[in-house]
Amino acid sequence: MLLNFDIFAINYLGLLKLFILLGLLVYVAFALVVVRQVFLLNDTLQTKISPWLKVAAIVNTCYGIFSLLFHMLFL
Amino acid sequence: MTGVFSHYMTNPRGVCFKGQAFDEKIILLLRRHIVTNVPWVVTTILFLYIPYIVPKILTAGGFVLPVTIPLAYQMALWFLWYLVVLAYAFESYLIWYFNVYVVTNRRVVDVDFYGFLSMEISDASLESVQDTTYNISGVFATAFNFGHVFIQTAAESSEFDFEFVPHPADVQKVISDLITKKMQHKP
Repeated sequence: MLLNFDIFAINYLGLLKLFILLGLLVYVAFALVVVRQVFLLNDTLQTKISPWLKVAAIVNTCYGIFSLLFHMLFL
Repeated sequence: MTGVFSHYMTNPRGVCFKGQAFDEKIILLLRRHIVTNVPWVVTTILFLYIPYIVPKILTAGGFVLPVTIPLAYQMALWFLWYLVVLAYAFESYLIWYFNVYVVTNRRVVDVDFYGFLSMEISDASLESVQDTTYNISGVFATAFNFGHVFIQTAAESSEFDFEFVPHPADVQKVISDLITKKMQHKP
C-alpha cells in the first residue's frame, strides 16, 4: 500500500517547538549530571574555588529548568 | 599562577584530596599546561559565531528556506545553540580542572577524569617509585615548556604518566629529591 505523505502537511512549527523543547530537556538532564559530577569531583579534590564551581553548576541547572519552562509556556 | 587557571602549584594552600593523611603534605599540584586548553577555547569561539556565519553563507549561496520561521522560534533556536556551546565549554573546563597530578611527601596521585562520571584515581608510594623520566617533544611543548613525566613503580600496574605537565624537568627533580630524602630517612 502506498502512502501519500506530504511533510508540509504537518505543522512544521509544532515540530520545531518539539525539537526545541526536547533539546532543552536534554540540556537539563545534562546539567543535572554536571551537578552530580561537580559534587563528586569536589569530594575527590577540594580547592579554594570548589564552592564556586558548585554554585556555577547549580545556577546552570536552574537556568536550564527556567528556560525549559519559559519555552514550554510562551513559545 | 593561582586561581581558576593554575596548572603548576607548589605547596598549595587550601587544597586537599580524598584519602589524604593528616600529616601528608601536598608538595606539587599539577594540571595539563594551560596551552592545552587552546583547542576547546578556539572551538567554543567558532561555535559562538556559527549562528551569524551560517545564514550569511547560505544566503550568499542562494539557498532559501521553503518555509518562514517566526522570530520567536529563531531566537529559541539560537538560545538552544548557545546553551549547547556553554555546556561544551563548561564540561571541557571541568575535564581540565579535575585532571590533576598530586605529589605529596608520601606518594604520587593521579586523578583522571574523562567526563560524564568516568573517573580513575591511582596512587603509588614514593618508596615504590623506581625510576622517573620526562620528555618534551613537539614545537608547542618546547616553546611552552611542557611534556610528559613517566614514573615507573615497582608495582605491577606499570607506570604513571603525568601528561602535558608544565616544567617537566622540575617535576622530575622534585620527585627524585623526595625519593632521595625518603631513602635517607629510612632506618
